[in-house]
Amino acid sequence: MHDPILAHLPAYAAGTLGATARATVDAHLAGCPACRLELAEWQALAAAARRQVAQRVLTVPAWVAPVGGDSPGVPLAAGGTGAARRWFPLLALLLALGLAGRQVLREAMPSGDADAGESRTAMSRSGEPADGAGRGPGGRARTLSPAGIPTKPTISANAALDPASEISALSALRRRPGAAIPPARQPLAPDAPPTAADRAMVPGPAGTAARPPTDGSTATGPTADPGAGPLAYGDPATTRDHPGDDPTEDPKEDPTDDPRDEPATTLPVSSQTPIALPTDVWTPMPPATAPPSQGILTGRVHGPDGQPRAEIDVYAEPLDPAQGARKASTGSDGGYRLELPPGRWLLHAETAAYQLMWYGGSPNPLLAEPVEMAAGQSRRADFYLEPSPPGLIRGQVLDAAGRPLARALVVAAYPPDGEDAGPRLVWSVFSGADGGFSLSLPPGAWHLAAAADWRQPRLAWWGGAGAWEQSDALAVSALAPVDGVRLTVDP
Amino acid sequence: MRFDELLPGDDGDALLVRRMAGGDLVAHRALYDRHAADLLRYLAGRVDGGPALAEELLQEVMVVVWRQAAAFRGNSRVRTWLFGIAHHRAANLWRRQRLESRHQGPALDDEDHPFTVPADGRFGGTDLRIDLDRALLLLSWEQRAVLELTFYHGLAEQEVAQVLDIAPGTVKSRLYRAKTALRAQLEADDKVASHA
Repeated sequence: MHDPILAHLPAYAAGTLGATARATVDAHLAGCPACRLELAEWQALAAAARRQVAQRVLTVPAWVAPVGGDSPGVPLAAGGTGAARRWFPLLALLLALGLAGRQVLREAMPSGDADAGESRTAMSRSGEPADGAGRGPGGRARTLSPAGIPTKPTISANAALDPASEISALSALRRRPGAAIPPARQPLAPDAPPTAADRAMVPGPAGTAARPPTDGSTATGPTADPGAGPLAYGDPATTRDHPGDDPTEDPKEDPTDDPRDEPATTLPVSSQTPIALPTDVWTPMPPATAPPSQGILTGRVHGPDGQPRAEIDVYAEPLDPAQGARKASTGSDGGYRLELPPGRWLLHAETAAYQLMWYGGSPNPLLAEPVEMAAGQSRRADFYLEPSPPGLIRGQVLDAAGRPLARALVVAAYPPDGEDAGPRLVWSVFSGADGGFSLSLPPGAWHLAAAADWRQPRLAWWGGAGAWEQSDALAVSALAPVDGVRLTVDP
Repeated sequence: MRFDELLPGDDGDALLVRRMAGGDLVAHRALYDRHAADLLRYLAGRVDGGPALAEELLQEVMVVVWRQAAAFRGNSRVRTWLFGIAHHRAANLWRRQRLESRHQGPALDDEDHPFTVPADGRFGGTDLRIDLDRALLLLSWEQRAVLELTFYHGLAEQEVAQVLDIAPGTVKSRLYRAKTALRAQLEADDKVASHA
């Protein structure tokens, strides 16, 4: 009887024993002092081992793109291998816009003047390819590193030192890798409710960061504003002097387009000094009357030319599957307004004329930036659309029984090409009510897949394969659309 | 938060590796974000040379991970696979370091070693933490690797065996030998203490 129990004890102390075996051990331990003592030894040993590891004070270095794979550990630099050179523009763009800018801004935004100024500088620097792709100078590289991961744990190393909570702490540690990394590396919560000081700042430097920079760094288009994290809107009372700010007025129904309400085109983004914007360049405030149980999301959708776009559908997709998706259309001023229950939402703007854009500035859902809604609070999310690429795939998503599947996420992935494999940018679109989809893509060979629920990206690849390696590529050209593509998913 | 975090845990890891196999750098970064801290902690315990060397090793490991993503067949958890790559790199370096410096394990200095006498003669009490932590440093490199993977990183016995490329039975015996060695060490300490 003891032997199988004894064999379980290390795993029991480690917290990795399955529930069934654990119950068996528990039942045995209740009546067996010898095994309890043995377990106590394992637990002491486990605690010592954990202490020893947790004592290592380490800083996770910034992520370095593993390109130039011929020379491991060497960050990409201009003049690298041929493959690296070919990757370079795309990679630099991806990093600078999709990652660097956002990470830096996300951390810097909520923390006030100095950080906001810094973030602008950092963002403009990250537009420089060599900096964006390689390992940045120590200080700033830090901000690119996993500090930006919201899942980074909050348990301190000391939590594991309390013997009483060791088991539970261990299981928590396992679920949250790196739990003992010093708290200085914790990301600032970008979605934290605004403090009074934050509100007083509006429209202040945090706000300017959300504006599209219009110096050189905008040349790359909408994604130049990836850092426009969910901004807390100002206290409406402080900004009511805007002419369009009647709290009862729904922005999307506002027929008058305030000519002063153009996207700011002259904001000095590189200045270290916080800029107090005149209130009249601000878009209308959300109504002051938020239903107590909901948050209010407002924003504006801009076209590639920076002008507001009407009749664009903005979707809010809840991370909580219990909630349904919400939709609003933009009014003539490009504004939209959504009342959302508390929780985290991913947003995207959809239209036939422009490619689907996730909030966060990317057609890639991997780079979508969630917006945290809280009851009674207002958030703002602006979109900057990009023209659709010239290629087009049209088709239908079906379920296993052959019925049309609405609201399925269709993604396209760029296949690797041997040594010169480039970043696999992903385009996405949702299927319509009849299961139909229309996905614009740059010309090239694409692997297509669909997922019934975008939250659980179990992808069914075109060609009937469960893995993309076995799927077939679709050749997309700018000359004629690819029609009649059928994607079958098993939800 | 990014898309990959909608699918946490092992399933998400596997998805990321599949995407990496297709050349998705964003997936590589996401995988890095998920595991770099743990890998770094493990590497720092496996090689001499401080955090800087461990960081360098981590970057090497992640390059190997990138190159081998397409070869990952899903026979194990991604986490286990990552630790396996990390351990392999660290073991190679450790062997080189040992050859170069004729490395000796840290010796226990009796004069510099305050003891507390265990109440029950075994090492279950909290008073013994310091002794235990010291004694742990005297264990072999391999034993400490097993202990860390088992108790800090939460790998199952089978997974530890995969990481270290040894038989599962060897993992078990190393665990038991580690415990026995610690107990013996502490009992020896007791004798010294009671003589003093």
